[in-house]
Amino acid sequence: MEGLRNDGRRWNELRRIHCQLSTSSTNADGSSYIEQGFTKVLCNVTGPAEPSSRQKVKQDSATVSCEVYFAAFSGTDRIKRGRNDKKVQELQTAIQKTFSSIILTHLFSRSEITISVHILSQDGGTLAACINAATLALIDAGIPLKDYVCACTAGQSTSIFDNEGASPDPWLDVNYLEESDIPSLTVATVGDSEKIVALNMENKVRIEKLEAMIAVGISGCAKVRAIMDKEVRRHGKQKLEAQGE
Amino acid sequence: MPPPTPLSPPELSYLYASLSLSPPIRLDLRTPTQFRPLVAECSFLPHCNGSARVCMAEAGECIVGIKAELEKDATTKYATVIEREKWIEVSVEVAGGGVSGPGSGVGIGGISGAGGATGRDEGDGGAAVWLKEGLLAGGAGGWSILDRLVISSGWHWKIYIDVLLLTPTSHPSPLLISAAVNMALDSTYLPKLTSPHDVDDIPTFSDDWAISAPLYEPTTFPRPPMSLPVVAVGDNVFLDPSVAEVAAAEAGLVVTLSLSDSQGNCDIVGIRSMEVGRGGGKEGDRKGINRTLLRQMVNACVKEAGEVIKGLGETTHKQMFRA
Amino acid sequence: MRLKPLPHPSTNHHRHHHRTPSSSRITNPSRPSPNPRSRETVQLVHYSATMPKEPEISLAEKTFVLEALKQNLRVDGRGIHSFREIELSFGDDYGFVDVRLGKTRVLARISAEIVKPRSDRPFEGTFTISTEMGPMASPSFEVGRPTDLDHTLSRLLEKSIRRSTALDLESLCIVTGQRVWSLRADLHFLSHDGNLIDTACIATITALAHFRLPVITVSGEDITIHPVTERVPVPLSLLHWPICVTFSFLGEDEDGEVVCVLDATAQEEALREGDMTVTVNKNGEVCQISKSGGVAVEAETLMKCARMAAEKVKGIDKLIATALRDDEVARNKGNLDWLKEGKSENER
Repeated sequence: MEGLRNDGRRWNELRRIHCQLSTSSTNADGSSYIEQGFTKVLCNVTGPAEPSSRQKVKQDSATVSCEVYFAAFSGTDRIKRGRNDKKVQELQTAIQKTFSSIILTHLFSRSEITISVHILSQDGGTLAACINAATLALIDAGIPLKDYVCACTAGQSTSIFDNEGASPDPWLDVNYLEESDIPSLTVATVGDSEKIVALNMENKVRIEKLEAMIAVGISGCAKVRAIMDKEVRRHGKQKLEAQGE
Repeated sequence: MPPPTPLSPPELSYLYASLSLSPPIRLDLRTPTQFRPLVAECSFLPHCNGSARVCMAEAGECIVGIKAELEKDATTKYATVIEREKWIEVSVEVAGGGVSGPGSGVGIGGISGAGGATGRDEGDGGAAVWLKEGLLAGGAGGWSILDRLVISSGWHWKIYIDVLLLTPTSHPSPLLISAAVNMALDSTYLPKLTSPHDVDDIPTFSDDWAISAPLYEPTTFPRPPMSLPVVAVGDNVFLDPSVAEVAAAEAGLVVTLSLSDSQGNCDIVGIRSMEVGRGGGKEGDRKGINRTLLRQMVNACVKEAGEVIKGLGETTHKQMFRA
Repeated sequence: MRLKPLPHPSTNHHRHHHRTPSSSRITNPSRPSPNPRSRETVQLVHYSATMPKEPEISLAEKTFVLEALKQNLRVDGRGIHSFREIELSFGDDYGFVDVRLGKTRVLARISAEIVKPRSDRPFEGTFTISTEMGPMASPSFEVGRPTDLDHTLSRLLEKSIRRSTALDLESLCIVTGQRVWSLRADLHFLSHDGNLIDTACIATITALAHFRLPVITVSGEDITIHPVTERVPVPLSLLHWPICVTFSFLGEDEDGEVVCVLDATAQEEALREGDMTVTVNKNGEVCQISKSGGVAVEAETLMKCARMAAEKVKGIDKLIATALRDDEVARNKGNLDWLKEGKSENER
């Protein structure tokens, strides 16, 4: 074993992250694509635009709405999920609430910003990948944000204690096999600040272990932020150079 | 976001006039038989037996994932044709770049007998129908894809073809969808059977993907089918029409073809008529297609299709990886 | 709760005569109507005939509450980290609980019936929680039109109680694959003064702990349910008692740090900038954490909140246990009284 996980990573290693901006050729205002290991998520953002229903009109700020689509072929089994599927609704609410507080909505009253997320392949860390994809797509759309929102998962490994008897370190960025085996949480931070904007855990964990998991998650978010920022700058430079010609 | 506005009457008449000239002038200066450039990649989804993604600049993006699941044969004594046709299930989900506008029923680009897209929840049910039709059509000598799905006595593969459309219009180009499905099928692999053929128990398969068998054997024919849209304005016939050209056209067809040999000859598997805009003319102006024009349109497809399908096939085989 | 006064239709005064109170429009005022003139009609009717929205907090109230927090005071005089008094009262039937947290009041009732189990889980019973908020709780709630709070509440209860397997579903099995108990918790929200989530969770757990299942004997194909007069019913098998604790983040204290208020009233909830719900049981196991959006908070603060939640839950757990025990004693006392009366001995 030697402290390696089932895919050969150590406890604090992220999976390979590949992200792209402006991937969509449709008339979405902003789009992005992110791969975290085998979890692949596509995101399109439109807005600010006229709200689709009168209920969504807010006099002093924009409404943020989110739609999540799981492709039927995204998991190991083929499952077609309807609009009222619980998992779909949970993800939608989580993403919508997170970004409602990050987007500077007071700048666009009586409008709607729509975030559409398509999950093409699930391999653990779905919520985190969706949040990261949404951040990139919003940046691509030019919608003003307070800062990057970067999300990452952390799991509480149940492997046998090491020789000293101390409890093992939590695992960073769990994949599907690990997620179904051990308790895990998703944490999203804002920019460089290490302040948490979203925290989601659905398994049972002893409270003593919680702090370590959150700390590992936050360090993972910082790494994710560095990767996302690099790509955003590279994309921006490319765009400027293309325009300059 | 509201659906893209249709062309205004002066734009339509300008386009109509331009397309009915001889020689005709297309808006993007293509020749009548030239296809728009597309970006395609395949085998990128780890959970799928086959996958493909095709992007065309204006027509949007289409991602297809194919999954095969083990299924027991129906308990009736005779495996009827209808039972066997259920072995392939096609599902199309349309998701616009943003909020979809109100459905337009069978509008521009809708295919006859195929019900319009009324919103992303129902999906483009029409596309599923003609896609499956093309797949089930037999090849030369009575070959059928369904034969490839039989595993052993009492068991078969059930193929789920899930199409995800990310497109700005409510009626995407049939070429886009069809090209993606074609490539996905070409890159589909089924695991190799390790238990004997004639045993009735649950079959077991090898975990080694290197020895898995492709659904469509690379050197055999026919290849997966491909649907090409074609429109006519006056006496001119155009392949791969853009949304604007469909709005200005007088007649439209979708011809489904499959490659029957390595020279690029194709068999016609199906022909469906496509709803076109008739240059913005009134309802009563509907002209219909005369036989000469019909022959012309179908021939144009058959001539060009071979190259297109072969080209796509070569791309697929170059890109495929055996994980 | 003050109702928002009807807006004086001064600007739309000249359109008064178009008012047609057609009932079909009232039920779905947001559907765009084809006639542009009637859209204004719908708008007028919408304000007067459907439920009014929550009144917006006035600037004066907001300033007062936030200033008080800066000085470590809350409007109702509680400490920042204290719950309101929890009052539990039980009904005559088992599984019926009325929980009061200050002015917030939630009723929970457990009912059971025997059904065929799910085909993919033939050895487990089923347990569903139904929450529907109506105008009784607050005039801004409408039956059949779930609000965000509705969805959040049902999801949190789902995660806290069902997903953490508080109830042992295998113990509800009667005959594997054929007959199982199907439990249903119905929550009724009678009054909303903040913190519906915690109250609902306490109500559900207490009701589950209070409920008794009739005894069953299986002989071959027959299942006999013994009425309560024949055999004493048995309590449910609860593996642990998960209890939700919601923290609301609002304002700043004297150091400029965000204040984490426990058990917010409706007024404090309207002013809060973020919230987090932690579900813990008395064994110190955190069953779920949910913080979606809202103000970004330091990890240290969140951990402090989680630890505080664990402490509070120990107290709440003891309270529930005491209340249940008292109720049991009260019931048995009543039972034994008639026994005493029935004795044929004379008083000597």
